[in-house]
Amino acid sequence: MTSDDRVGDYLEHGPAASGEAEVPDGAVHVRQILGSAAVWGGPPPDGLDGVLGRIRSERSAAYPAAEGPAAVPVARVRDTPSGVAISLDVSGLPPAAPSTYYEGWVGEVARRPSRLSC
Amino acid sequence: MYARFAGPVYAAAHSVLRDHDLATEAVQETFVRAWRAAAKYDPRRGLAPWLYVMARRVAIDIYRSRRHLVDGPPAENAIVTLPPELDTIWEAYQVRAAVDRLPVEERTVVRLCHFEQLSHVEIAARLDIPIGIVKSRSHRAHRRLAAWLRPLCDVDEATSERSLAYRGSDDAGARHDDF
Repeated sequence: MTSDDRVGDYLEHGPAASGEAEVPDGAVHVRQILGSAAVWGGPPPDGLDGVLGRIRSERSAAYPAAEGPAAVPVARVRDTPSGVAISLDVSGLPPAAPSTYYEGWVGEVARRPSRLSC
Repeated sequence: MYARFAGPVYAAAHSVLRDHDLATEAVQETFVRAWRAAAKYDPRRGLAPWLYVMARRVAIDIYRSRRHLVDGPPAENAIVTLPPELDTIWEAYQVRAAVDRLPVEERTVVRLCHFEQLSHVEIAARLDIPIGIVKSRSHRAHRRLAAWLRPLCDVDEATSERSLAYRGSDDAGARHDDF
C-alpha cells in the first residue's frame, strides 16, 4: 500500500481506516477541512457580474468618455481536444473608425506574444 | 480566472471570516484588486499563489475592519490581533482547489460524505445509484485528493516543510506546482 493509498483510506473512512497505523497530522487536518463550509460554499452564480460591474465603474471613472473608451473585455479560456479556445466579449468599445480595426494579443509576458486580428 | 479560482478564494476568505456574506464580499474585492494589480503579475510565479496572497490580505482587511467596528479603534501600541486559525487559510485554499478539480460525480459523493456526513448507503439512496458505484467513486476521489494534497498531508516531509514555510509567507514567489 502506497502512502497515497494509506492517506486516501484515511481521508475516506477516518480513524477507523487507519487501525494501529500512524496517520500524519496533515491528513487529519485535511479531513477536517473537507467537512467545512469553506470547501463547499461559494459566491452566488452572478458573482462575476458584481466584479465586472465594479471594474466597469472604475474604468469609467479612469477613462471619461471624452478622453477614451471605457471598454471592459472578458476573456473565457477553455481547453478543447484541438487546443485552447479563447472567446472575448468586449463591452463599451465603439466601432472601429473607417479603415482601422482592433487587434488582440495573447502570450506570456516573458515571451513574444502572438497577434490575433479581429 | 474567476471560474477557476472563485472557489479557492472563497475558501480562504471563509476560513478567516467564518461568514458566507463576508466571504462573498472578499471574493469580489479580491478579483477587483487582482484586476487593478494585473500589470504587476509575474506569470513565472504562478497564478494560484498570487491570488492566494491577495485573497488572504483582503480577508484579513475585512476581518480587521469588522473588529474595529465592533471593538473600536486599537490603542496606539496594541499588538495586532490576527484572525483565528490563520495557519489554515492556505490549506483551505488548496483543499478547495483540489475538490474543484474532481469530476462532478466524484465531487458530489465527497460532499455528501464529508459535509452532510452521509454513509455510502445513504449516499446511494440520495443519488438513486447502486452502492457499488458510490464506493468506487468515493475510492477514486479520495485517492486523487490524497495525491493532489500530498504536501499538506505530510507524506513527504521536505515538501511539507516547504508548504509550511510558504503558508506563513507574504511573498507569492514560492511557486507550488500542484495547481
